[in-house]
Amino acid sequence: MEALFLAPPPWEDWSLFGQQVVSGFATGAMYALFALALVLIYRSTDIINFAQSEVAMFGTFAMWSLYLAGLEAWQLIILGVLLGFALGAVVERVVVRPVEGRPHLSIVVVTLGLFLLFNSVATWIWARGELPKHFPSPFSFEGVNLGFTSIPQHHLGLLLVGAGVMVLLVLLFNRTKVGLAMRATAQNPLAAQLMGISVGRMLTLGWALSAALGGLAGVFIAPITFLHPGYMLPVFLYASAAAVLGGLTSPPGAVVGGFVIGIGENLLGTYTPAKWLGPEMKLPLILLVLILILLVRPTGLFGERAVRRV
Amino acid sequence: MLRLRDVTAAYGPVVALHQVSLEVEEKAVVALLGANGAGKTTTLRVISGLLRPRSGVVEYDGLQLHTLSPDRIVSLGIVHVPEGRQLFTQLTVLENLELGAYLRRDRAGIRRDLEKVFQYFPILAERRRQHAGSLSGGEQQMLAIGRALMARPRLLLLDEPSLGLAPMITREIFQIIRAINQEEGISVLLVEQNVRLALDISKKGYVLETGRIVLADTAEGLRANEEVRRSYLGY
Amino acid sequence: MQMEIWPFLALLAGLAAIAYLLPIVPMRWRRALAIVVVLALLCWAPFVLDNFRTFQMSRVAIMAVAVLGLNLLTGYNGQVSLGHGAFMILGMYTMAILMDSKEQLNFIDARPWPFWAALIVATGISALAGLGIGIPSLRLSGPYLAIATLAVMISITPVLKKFGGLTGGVQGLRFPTPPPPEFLKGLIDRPDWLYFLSLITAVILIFLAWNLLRSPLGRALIAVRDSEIAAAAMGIPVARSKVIAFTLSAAYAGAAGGVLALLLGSVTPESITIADSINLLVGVVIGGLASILGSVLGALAVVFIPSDAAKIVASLPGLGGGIVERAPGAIQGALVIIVMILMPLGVAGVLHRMAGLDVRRLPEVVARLPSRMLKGAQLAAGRFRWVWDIRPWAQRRPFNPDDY
Repeated sequence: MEALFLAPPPWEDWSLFGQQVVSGFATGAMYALFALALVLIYRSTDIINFAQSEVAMFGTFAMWSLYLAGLEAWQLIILGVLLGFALGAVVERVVVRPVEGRPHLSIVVVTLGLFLLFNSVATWIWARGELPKHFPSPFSFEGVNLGFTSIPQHHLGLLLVGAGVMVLLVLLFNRTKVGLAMRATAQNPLAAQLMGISVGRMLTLGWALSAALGGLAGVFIAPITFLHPGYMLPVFLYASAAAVLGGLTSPPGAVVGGFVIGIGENLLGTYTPAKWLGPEMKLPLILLVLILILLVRPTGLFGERAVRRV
Repeated sequence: MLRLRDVTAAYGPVVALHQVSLEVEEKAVVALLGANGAGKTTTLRVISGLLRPRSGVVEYDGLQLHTLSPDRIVSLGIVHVPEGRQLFTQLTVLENLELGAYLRRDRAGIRRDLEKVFQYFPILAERRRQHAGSLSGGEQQMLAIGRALMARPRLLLLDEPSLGLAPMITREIFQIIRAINQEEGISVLLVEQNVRLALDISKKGYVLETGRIVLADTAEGLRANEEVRRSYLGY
Repeated sequence: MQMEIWPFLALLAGLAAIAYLLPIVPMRWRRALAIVVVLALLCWAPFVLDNFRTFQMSRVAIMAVAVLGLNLLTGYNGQVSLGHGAFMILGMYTMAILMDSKEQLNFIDARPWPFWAALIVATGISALAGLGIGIPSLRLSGPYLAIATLAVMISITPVLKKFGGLTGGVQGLRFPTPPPPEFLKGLIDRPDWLYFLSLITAVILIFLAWNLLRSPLGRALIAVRDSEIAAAAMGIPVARSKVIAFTLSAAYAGAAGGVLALLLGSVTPESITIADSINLLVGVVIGGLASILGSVLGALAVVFIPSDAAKIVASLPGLGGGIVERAPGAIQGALVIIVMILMPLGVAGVLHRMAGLDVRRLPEVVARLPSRMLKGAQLAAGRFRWVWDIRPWAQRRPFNPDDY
């Protein structure tokens, strides 16, 4: 009889299944961070930032140059986050600010322009010689035994760093004045301004934080997928699917969405019916599921129901 | 304390204020009256820095207010409670009040003022953990005023505090406004459709018509004015 | 005689402007006159342009149809789709399957169809697909719809590759492009004929859209965009209008795909990529939302900016070499951003403003130009001041709720 799946089915190899789930959690953590970055922008500016992936890719390539210059992997992570922060702030101030308050589509098209710009400049600077390029991880890729299964140390690192950053974000938004001001600005910029909050600075901060999260995801994903100018695009697609699944306005939704997509990606890639679909149909299948979920819940799992004024 | 001189303001090509001049004295309640579209809200927006005047001067303790940004104006003690209240509906009552004190750094003073706001509006203390959007209209107006008080203002700009409220609650809110003025010594520039109530707590008033000040007098003077009576008081 | 493309386009724009602004022509004839001038020049184009530029002009005509189709949906009806490339590729495959003489389709006569019949069927099938996607899309709005349609576009490439029985898999399909008809033999060659086919299709479909938008249905589409609740209150069937917009828009994209397949003579799963699909939206917004003229201008932009913008910038004094030639996408991206910042309503928005110009006042206007440009520069400088002015106490543009 022909095998139903490409891999041995879960009931024959639970260790493989467990490994797929745990490493799905790990990549899911990165999707969740990236989705959070998208949600951050969506809440403050009402658009999906299509340049997100390319800004992260650009920053990671810059880190790759520093890696050649001899920096340690953990230094690259810190610098990558800081560079992302700076890039996000510059992008908001220089190209997004002039179109702020315009129809959403104008801002979306500006982010599409940014996508082209960053992609092209990164290709010009870095995409010479051999591609994809190796990117270092502070962790190794040796397996860590978890009892029921084992996963690479790097993936475990992903999971822990992802969880840590999420906790930090929760603290930032719920326990600090700046976080409260950012939430207030996203909700009602006019009232925020009347409270003496500088709305412009909060928007800059939001874009900067978002790009910093993107940068973090960028340097953590590069060791797995290797580095080339298009390497963050699939991450963007999965993360935007995660953000939409979670409801675009809901940070917890983005996290849940990220994990669901991460695990779903791994399981679909491993257990697709060999004859009919195969691993190359993984992305279409995930997107099909996303569309079906959206049809049942048009604003995602945790999104606010759109209330329209007349 | 606050003085507007020949302020002209416009939204694009539409001129909303023509050479408006008015003055608010220290510790006074001043009413700004007029029909819809007369320019009352525009006047407040010019003062709080939301709208740049096209010409004219806004002076506040010798400062040229019209050159400053809204956050700077708040830090000088002028707080605008806008029409429709503009609460952060998805934040809690307490968070809304904290945001009112956004520019302040004195933790102890903020805590004292929070207690004071809860004294003026005990209902807010009860509902401190609720979302602002779940409050009733009157409670929301109280929260809007309380939030403004948290900035420790010297001048409150109140835009239609009675909007959409039942008469009894309106009266209650006006009593509190009067109390705030008398006990805290906060000046109030009050925009109000309910002319009778507004004049009851004001020292003086201005009447705006299509962007111009057509009348300026003490509250008694305005109440006695034939024109005001016929147009706004209805007797 | 031979002409380069840019002098040709400049001539086209110049003559159209003269025709439109000619003071001796009565106001109501000016637009018709300008259109006649443009069409005459476009018919002349294949005889003066080289084959590559003629091919590009055919692409402009095709993209004009596709961008206009998306504009019907996004600009006029307010629904954003990033997946219109999927309808284009559907049109291309339908065309290729019907015109292929090989036995792609065992259940249809193996003889190739005439191109016009195939084109009609391709349009119809895309319309059906649009109907099929438009109905569930009723539940989605804004960014959710954008991502869902993008998902459709992303999925279609691997699906086409995987299910190769009908589509030829990764290799795709090839078929002979139609030769010019008998009575034109000798007058025009095959690429010119394909150019005219594209042009005629574009003219017909643009004319139909122009009529449609002035009909009650067109007004219904616009009303639904502006306020669904108000439209419903006026008795406009909101759901039906939105589905009709989706169907029509998909039909336009499918027709564009069909003609594109004719032009290329082949189709593969990568004939239309995600980038092309997104470019349609860029064309709509750059050209001008809810504007037919804007759709044509947007098509010009999406065809010529990628191919020429970098070269033109590089030819400017002092800008040659380096990034400009090595990273053409950077110029493209920067151009898109600059147009969006400077022209909120797209290129068509600027032209609509200029259209009010009275030629007799031209000297006066030109005389005022320096002072106006200075004022514009000051405004722009004011707008950008915060970029370099980072003192925290510096004054910022007040937030104006009316902007929103």
